[in-house]
Amino acid sequence: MRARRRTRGAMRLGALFTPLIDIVFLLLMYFMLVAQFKTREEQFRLDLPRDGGIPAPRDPFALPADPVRIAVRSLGDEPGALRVRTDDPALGSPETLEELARAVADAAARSLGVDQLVLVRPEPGTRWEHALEVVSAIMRAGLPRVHLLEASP
Amino acid sequence: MPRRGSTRPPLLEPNLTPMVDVVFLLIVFFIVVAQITTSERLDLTLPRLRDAPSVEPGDERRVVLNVAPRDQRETLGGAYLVAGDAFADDLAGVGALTDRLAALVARDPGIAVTVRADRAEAYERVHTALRACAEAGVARVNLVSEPLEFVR
Repeated sequence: MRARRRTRGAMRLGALFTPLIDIVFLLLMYFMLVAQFKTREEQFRLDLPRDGGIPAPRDPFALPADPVRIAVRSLGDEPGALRVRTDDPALGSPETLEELARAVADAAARSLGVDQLVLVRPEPGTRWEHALEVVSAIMRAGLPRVHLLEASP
Repeated sequence: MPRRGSTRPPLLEPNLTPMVDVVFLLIVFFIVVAQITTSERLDLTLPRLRDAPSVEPGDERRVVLNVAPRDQRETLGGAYLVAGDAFADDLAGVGALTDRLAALVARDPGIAVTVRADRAEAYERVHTALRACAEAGVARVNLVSEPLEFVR
């Protein structure tokens, strides 16, 4: 009698372990799935010209302004290792990304409107990262209408 | 003592284990399903941007266009990947890519194409994809980057 009772108690204790392990493994799976092993992705919006042409400005009363043209060339593999070139009198002659951002911010505050179109033309072989950096910097500096043109020297 | 315990109806014993089991299984199931839907992202080293003018994705329909890195083109079967289909980098491939995107635009004119490309990708290859989007009538493109931590 005594022996039977002991075995029954041991069985009950053993049966309690299975759901515990169940739940522990489920928790483990849950946290492994929830943990983000990859770095965060950001995305930003770029409006494409319709039918290859240049879209109409948002403000119908705005005077048609000549687009600002900016060329990009890669110098190395690092972010920011690039040179920009522009012949627009409103921007001066910025060369690095920081100078470009400052010049665009100044020009956007003084002479250029928000509807000002900026055409970015990377040279052939430019790293995608550098083209994207220039577009991002111009948008951040206050001119959101940026188009990426076909590569040309 | 044991007799009183045995007279208690067994249904009233609080046994939460199966319920927790099922709840966690449901949670895991939905997480796994959600990850299947994002698996059309190719594993790329994305461009690093400091302070990108990023937006939260809205409720518009989206499709991902991956530009495959050069060393993965053989295994993936093409340079441009849209919703499981691979398109080559030549004239016919880009034409097929444009047709595919135009079919998606015809189904939903407000569709946004998420363009993902490697940071070392030559600009011409990405521009080919952007031009295909423009020719297909896609009004909006989302460019994907990875946040660059402020170094200094």
